[in-house]
Amino acid sequence: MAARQMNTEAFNAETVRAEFPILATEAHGRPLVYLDNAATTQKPQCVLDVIEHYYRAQNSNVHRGAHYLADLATRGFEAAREQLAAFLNANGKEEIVWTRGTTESINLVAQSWGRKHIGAGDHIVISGLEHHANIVPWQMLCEEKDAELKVIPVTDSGELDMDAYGTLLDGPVKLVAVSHVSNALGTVNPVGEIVRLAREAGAITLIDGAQAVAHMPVDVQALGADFYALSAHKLFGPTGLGALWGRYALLESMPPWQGGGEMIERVSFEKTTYNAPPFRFEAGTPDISGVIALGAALDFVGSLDHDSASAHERDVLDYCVARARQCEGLRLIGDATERLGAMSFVLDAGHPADVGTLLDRQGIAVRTGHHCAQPLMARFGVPGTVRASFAVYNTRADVDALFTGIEKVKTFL
Amino acid sequence: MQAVPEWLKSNPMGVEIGTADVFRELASCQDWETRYQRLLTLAERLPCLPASTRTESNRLHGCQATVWVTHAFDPVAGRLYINCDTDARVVKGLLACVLSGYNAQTLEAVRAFDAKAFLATLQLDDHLVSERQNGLLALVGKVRMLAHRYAA
Repeated sequence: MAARQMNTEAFNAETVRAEFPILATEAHGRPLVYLDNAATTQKPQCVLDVIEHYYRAQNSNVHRGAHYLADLATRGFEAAREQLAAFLNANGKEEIVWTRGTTESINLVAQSWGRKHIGAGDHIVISGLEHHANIVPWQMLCEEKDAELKVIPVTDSGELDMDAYGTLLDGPVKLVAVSHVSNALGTVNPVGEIVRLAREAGAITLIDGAQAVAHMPVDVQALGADFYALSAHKLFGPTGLGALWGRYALLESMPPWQGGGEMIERVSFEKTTYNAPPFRFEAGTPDISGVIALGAALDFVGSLDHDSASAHERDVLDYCVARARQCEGLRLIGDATERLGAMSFVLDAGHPADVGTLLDRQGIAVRTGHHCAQPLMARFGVPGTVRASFAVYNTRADVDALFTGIEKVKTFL
Repeated sequence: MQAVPEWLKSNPMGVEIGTADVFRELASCQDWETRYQRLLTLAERLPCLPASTRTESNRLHGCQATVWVTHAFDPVAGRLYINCDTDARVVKGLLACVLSGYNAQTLEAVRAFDAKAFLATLQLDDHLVSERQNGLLALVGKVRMLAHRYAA
């Protein structure tokens, strides 16, 4: 514990905050308190600079042009792929497929791997904590293939019922798809155990890592999963970009899901042959500036002292949960032992939508509503929650501002 | 066409409380705290809908608060009667503001009422940005659609 405290002291949140220009702005004339990081994180100056530099000095299409700029763009683009592969400890950059985001990564697996391997009567297991992005693509697949979607129940504390999971694995399970960290509650799922049990049962695994990558190191090889999906914009990078990590042998066995340029090897009207992964899954001109900017975002993450940064994040979240427990008329939704990045709650005083509006007027940005997790809201019997979610640049002062804001909200409602 | 039910006719928005009254009440506020306090007071003037009308088909799908809307058209008077309900009080206040321009009005007046411009004069137009936000945009869309339907 002493070491952890020392680490917290060593971490200078103000230096980190200074790298994010938007954090110094105002909302409704009040200093911005940004606690909506699970929706999207803000972008450091280095990411903004790279985007501008790209269009000023590098802009060209990748992988095709035989000219100076095309080489520059392609090198930057592929260097970022290598960076992300290293960030996830993948076996190589060929295992990284660029997508539009976590949602598209999951849809890619459902449409390509899923349509090939899922058949009538097969079971797909997800959890009750999932974002709609990790529910609907599987529902669509099940509907098409006459397969069945099974759901790991959620306990009152917002954790997965692992005994029930074990029972579900007795069925004809082909795929298990769960989130690493719940977007709505911040629950950290025991993905190592989930993957291990799934493998024993002979099922393929996909982990939705959207809410994990900004908060914890991810080692896909150690994790042992088959697919890992993430979004750049929740990792200090630009919107509209994400990635799918997949085991190369699996990617290689998968058919393309979108046709077009880049994904082909050779095209004739009689027969088209397909490029190897990852390009097989990257039809069309990709988000080149976004990919290069994600590289800058990964540089930013790499520049932080990991231990002290994560001790700082833990301290701020623990502080927030402790303040919440003392706050009269506040009910935590989900109270998992392992929690990262987010805290969800409701106030007796009023509807989450009103709480959000009245916090917003005070410059405090939180997310209210169902967090694209309607089945989870139904599980807890609430129309929605207020979610405060954190990034490395948040401080205890942000938490204090939140609770001052909440006290003011109570005077209204 | 059955008569306009009493519980719809009892909605004071657009009748006892017109847009000019709402404007007088809210536009003059010096700070957001006063404006929102008065908005919450206004919300209390909007009668609750009978439970029987809180049906799925009367529901406006917003991301946050659940909003129910019900209406009746009086063909003799040529007026459209509308009321809304929701569990969220700020949202209900916003709905009341909009209904001051729509409820018990002629179809011509309904079509002519610019809800967004009106909310802008109250400095509340930031609530009309996203469809998923609070159902307000969906209400405006629905009322305009009704006005066209009954005019046809």
